[in-house]
Amino acid sequence: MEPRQPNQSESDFVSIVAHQLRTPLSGVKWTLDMVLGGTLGALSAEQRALLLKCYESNERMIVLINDMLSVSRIDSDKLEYRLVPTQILDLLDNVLFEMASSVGKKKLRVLFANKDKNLPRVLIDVEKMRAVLQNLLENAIQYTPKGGKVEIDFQVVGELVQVSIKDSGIGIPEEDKKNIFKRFFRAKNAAKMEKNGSGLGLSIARGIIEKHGGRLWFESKVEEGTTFSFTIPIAK
Amino acid sequence: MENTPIVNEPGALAGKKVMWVEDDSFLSDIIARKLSAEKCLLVHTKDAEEALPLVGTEMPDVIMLDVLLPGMNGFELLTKLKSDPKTKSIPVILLSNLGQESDVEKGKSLGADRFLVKATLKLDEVIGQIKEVLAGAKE
Repeated sequence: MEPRQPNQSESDFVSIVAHQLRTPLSGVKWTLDMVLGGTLGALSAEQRALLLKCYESNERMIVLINDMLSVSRIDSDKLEYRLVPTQILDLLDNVLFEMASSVGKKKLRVLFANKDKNLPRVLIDVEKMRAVLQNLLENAIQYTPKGGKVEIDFQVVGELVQVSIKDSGIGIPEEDKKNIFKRFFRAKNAAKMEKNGSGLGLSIARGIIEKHGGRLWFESKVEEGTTFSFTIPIAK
Repeated sequence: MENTPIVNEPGALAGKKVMWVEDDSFLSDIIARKLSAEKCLLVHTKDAEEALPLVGTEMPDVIMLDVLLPGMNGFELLTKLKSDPKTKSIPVILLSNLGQESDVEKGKSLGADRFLVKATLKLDEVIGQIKEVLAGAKE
């Protein structure tokens, strides 16, 4: 069953609740920043480890609230889009640059099947598309074992550019495939890994891609990997 | 607001006067501690009405302004500050847990130097933004 669309007052309510929740969470985050940063004195290793767990839990709550807000805004058409012709290869390079540390930690290889500099520019909202690329790449990195690889491909398909991100990760179990874009759903093998995630990222990514007039889909085999692909219109 | 002495290092904010308009007492307390560590002078108010006359007398180097405040909101105070020749050149950083693009655009169009979403930034990053604005860097 598809989720019901929220009406305007429900969406405003979500925005207000998100704001009210973020304020005390900001206080906790900043307090822990100060304590962990040593501003208030040295910590024992055990104190530091426990406070880091507090910090991570607080970050998870902030991510969850941000994701809920994004979903609510997509549903109510409140998410504003400013479409500009953009070279998506450049945007992808920027996103990968930001993720270099997590790629390096896992000794992953990131390969481009086709990095054609003549790829036509696409009509996108850069910040929204950055969020989509971050989500798909974070998933690929998170669920690919150490030493694995992530392959990125671009193709022109008619009046669209198709982007594919293929990982050599754990894959999505057959019985979970139909639910993978559902909100708050997490595949069984992903949940077992105890990685941070709200189960909202793919739902948000699909909402953003569809708002651009494109489509997001995937193919996957357990223990072999997953390929997420999406299309977006070429700028005229 | 309580200021607790803290071990600190002199930095780019040492001696600068920062006005912070924030109604949440938890955040206000942390901000006071952090700015004390940065050796800067803090003028804190809990609402915009209290802040407005103080800006002209205190003439802070930078104003950190929450948006949702009791009574006059941050956008209204910003409008007043930017229409007063005496205060219009004081840099203003809006700091809120709102963060919709319409809010950000509104803040910029009213003359704010930055719009920061509290929950997305570490405290050191907020301090870094203040330093950048004081150094004359515009977004």
